[in-house]
Amino acid sequence: MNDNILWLNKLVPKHVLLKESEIDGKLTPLNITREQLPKILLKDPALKALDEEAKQNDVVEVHRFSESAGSNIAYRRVVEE
Amino acid sequence: MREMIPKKISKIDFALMGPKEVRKLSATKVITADTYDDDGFPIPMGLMDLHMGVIEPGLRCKTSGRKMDEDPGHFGHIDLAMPVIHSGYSKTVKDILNATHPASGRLMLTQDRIDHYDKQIQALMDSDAGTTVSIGGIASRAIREATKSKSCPHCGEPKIKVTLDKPTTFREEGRKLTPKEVRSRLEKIPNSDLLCLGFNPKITRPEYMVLTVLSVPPVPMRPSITLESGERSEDDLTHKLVDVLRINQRLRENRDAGAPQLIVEDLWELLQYHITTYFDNQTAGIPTARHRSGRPLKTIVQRLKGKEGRFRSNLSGKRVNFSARTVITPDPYLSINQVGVPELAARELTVPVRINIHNLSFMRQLIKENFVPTDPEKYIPGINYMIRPDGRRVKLTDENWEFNHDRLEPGFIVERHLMDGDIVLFNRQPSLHRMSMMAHEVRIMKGKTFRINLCVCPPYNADFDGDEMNLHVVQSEEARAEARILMRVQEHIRSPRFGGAVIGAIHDHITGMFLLTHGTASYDIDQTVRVLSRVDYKGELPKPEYPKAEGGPRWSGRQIFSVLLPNDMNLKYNASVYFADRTPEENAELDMIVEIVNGNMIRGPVDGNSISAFKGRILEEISRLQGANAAKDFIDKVTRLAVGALMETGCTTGIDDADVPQDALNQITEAQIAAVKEVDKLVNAYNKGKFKPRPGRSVEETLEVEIMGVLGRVRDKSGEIAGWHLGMDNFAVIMARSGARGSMLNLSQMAGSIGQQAVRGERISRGYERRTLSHFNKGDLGADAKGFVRSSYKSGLSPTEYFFHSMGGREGLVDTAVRTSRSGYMQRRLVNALEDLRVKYDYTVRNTANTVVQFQYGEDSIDPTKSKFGKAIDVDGLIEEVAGGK
Ligand SMILES: [Mg+2]
Ligand SMILES: [Zn+2]
Repeated sequence: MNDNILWLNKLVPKHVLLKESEIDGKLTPLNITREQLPKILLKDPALKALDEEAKQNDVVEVHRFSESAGSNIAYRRVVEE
Repeated sequence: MREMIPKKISKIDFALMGPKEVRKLSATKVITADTYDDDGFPIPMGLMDLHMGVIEPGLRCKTSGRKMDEDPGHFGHIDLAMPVIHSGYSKTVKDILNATHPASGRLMLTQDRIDHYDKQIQALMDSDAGTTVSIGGIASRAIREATKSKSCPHCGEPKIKVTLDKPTTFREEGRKLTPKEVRSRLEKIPNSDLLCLGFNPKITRPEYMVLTVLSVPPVPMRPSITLESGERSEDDLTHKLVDVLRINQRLRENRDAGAPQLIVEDLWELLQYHITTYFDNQTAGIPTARHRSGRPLKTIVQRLKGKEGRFRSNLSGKRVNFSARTVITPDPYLSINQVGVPELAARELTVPVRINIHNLSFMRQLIKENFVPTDPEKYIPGINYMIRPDGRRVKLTDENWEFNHDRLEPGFIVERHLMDGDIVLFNRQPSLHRMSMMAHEVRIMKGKTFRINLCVCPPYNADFDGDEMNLHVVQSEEARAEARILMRVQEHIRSPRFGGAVIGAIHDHITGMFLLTHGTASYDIDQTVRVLSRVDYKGELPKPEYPKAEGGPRWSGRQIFSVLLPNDMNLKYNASVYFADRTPEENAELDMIVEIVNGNMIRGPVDGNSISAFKGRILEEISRLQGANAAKDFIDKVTRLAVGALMETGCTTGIDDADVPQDALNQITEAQIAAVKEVDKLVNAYNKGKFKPRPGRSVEETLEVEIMGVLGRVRDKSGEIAGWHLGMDNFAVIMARSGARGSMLNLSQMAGSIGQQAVRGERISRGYERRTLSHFNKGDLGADAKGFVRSSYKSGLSPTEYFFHSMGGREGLVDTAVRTSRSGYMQRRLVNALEDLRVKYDYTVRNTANTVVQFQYGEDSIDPTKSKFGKAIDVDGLIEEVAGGK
């Protein structure tokens, strides 16, 4: 996480771009294929604010605050459009 | 139509049909506007030509040879004398005309840009996966870009703008373009430019948007009906097609005879009108086509569109068998999961029962009962039909019932009338949440109404001012099991929305329980036994709380109520009657704190905070810890106990419950006079310009806020004064404070003063010039002139007060009307978006494409119904239990 002003907003959750090698390790235990993930647009401000450059078909891990569980992790597949 | 479909559909392409295809599809050309000859036989090449299907028994279709009802019919076609714009596409036509160059037909984009868009669309067409971007979206971007160019990049000529006069007239610099011209322009567009415009040149062409051939729908789609008088009446579509054919014929004749241009153009426009209204009779900008009687014709779009259209009425909304509808009335002696069904309805509704060795003799008995009833007064379900193992339905009649009675054996299915204990679905519209449709057990009753327990009124939002409800008899074994497990009323006591009870004691049940258990209320042995007998109490009587009372031992109401409590229940909480403005000690003194130790109520009254939905602590505890059936029993028994208690004590309210002593009224008047004076003082200061605005507000706003504050306080004060004199010996007060019905505000408005009326959250200000009513001076900002009502409902309102009160009341009515329609549509959109999401066994929430919507249901995989107000674990409760309460 860098010091982009975007991350200062408390409603913007933490985004982590996963390395290609990490992805299977995260998704396989959940029994979810990459095609079944919800999508995130490549032009999403959160992706632009990352240090790394995201590209089509990458996977980001989103760490959200959860009203019910305290914290929650979601995964999203990067799509161009 | 019991034929097999010979081919499997792998893919559907939607595209415009061209004249060639329309002709290929056509079973016959239609040339004459006549329908039937004098013998009532369809005229060949008329609108009812037998090639297009048959609607009369005995005749056979000339295309497929099938009989009526077996033949869906076949399309025909009309050759139009002159081309006509398809009104549904006129906007697209305009866009394309503006994006292309008339002389060459080229799209006004450089080849580079054309290739760019082509590539995008081609990629989309090649990919099988669904996506949020559509070909149409890309095409409309290309069109927009082309429209912006000032001149044609291919030949450099400047472009001329084409405008559209709705619905179908095109103009270029004021000059009308005939459909013929439009068509020839569209024809010029080269195939290579079409992809960009959103047309797949292999399938379709833009000039198909200008019609030269009109497809005629099959006869079974527009059947004529024979009236009682023997006169034939044609379908609206047929009427419209007759118009088209007539004008088409005249146009052709005139054109061929070389009639003046003006006449031909008039007829051409008339043909355009008829074809436009044939598609959509509500096209903006042209008059609706009407029947001779003045009724607007229902043409193609009208058949499909809107609530009564094919989609919403026939495809989404289905009518069902095995259902009944009648008025509802209350019955407190029914369980909440029962429904009283009138015998009349029960004899019409049936359940299919498969015969086995266990129910054979019972079903035989029922068949016999149906034809030779042993007791005509008593309801015994009968059987009208049986289905033999070979699938044949046999109606039981006076003649054959004995024979069929004897041959009944396992493997048969009989259709039995409804009887006690059957499971049915019960529903009241609008069905806004899942509790609007719940499964009930049937109780057959005399009378003609459905009977329900009053505690299920809130989830259905039902009352008994004439409400009707629907009942559905579940037919298959699986469905019955599912209804029993998932849909019964007790399974819905706890809400998935917030994790508390939504079904609980209401109104009189709460008053009754309060009267039974409050203070030192006690009952002699007769009363105690009478009340307890209502809940089928079978155990020993508890030790009387007042054994030495005059006239024999007496039991407290709390002891009687404790019979319903589980033995391990320990609770302590404030009752609904608790005075929030007094100390806990004072409240304890007044018996406003409830305490339950080991299932015995030791102090406090049972009221809304104990047994009502949402707030009732005891109900909450039982429904969460003891399960649905225990909660159902508890609610049922509370209902009966409350009715029993009310029979012993009685409860009534009337106008005298709003009586307050004269000096209390004087006090209220004094307070009001003082407040009005204070308002005048504020107004004076404002008029003199001495008024200081608060930060962020204008002077006027500050004045309003201050005045509202003063008048609000005096309303509270008069409520307090009135309330002080309305004690717990007053049934209206008991109802309000125990949470049964009404509030102390309602009471103080009846007894004391109604207070400030508001429209849009402000004092009333609209009306005449600078004043609300002509009874006041212009510019009067005082209390009375702006909607302050000093009177009470009991004393009655002055004319001006009454007027202001009606203004406030009107706003409330309008608000509810607006809110319901708006929230209804909001809900519809929400439901359509969420309806097929599902929690899978791995706790992920997924849609039908199996993509994940939420990685863990609710992010904590907690079923909120089983939670305590959303929390999975009741920490306070557990500590209490382990640490032993104290
Ligand atoms: Mg009603
Ligand atoms: Zn046919």
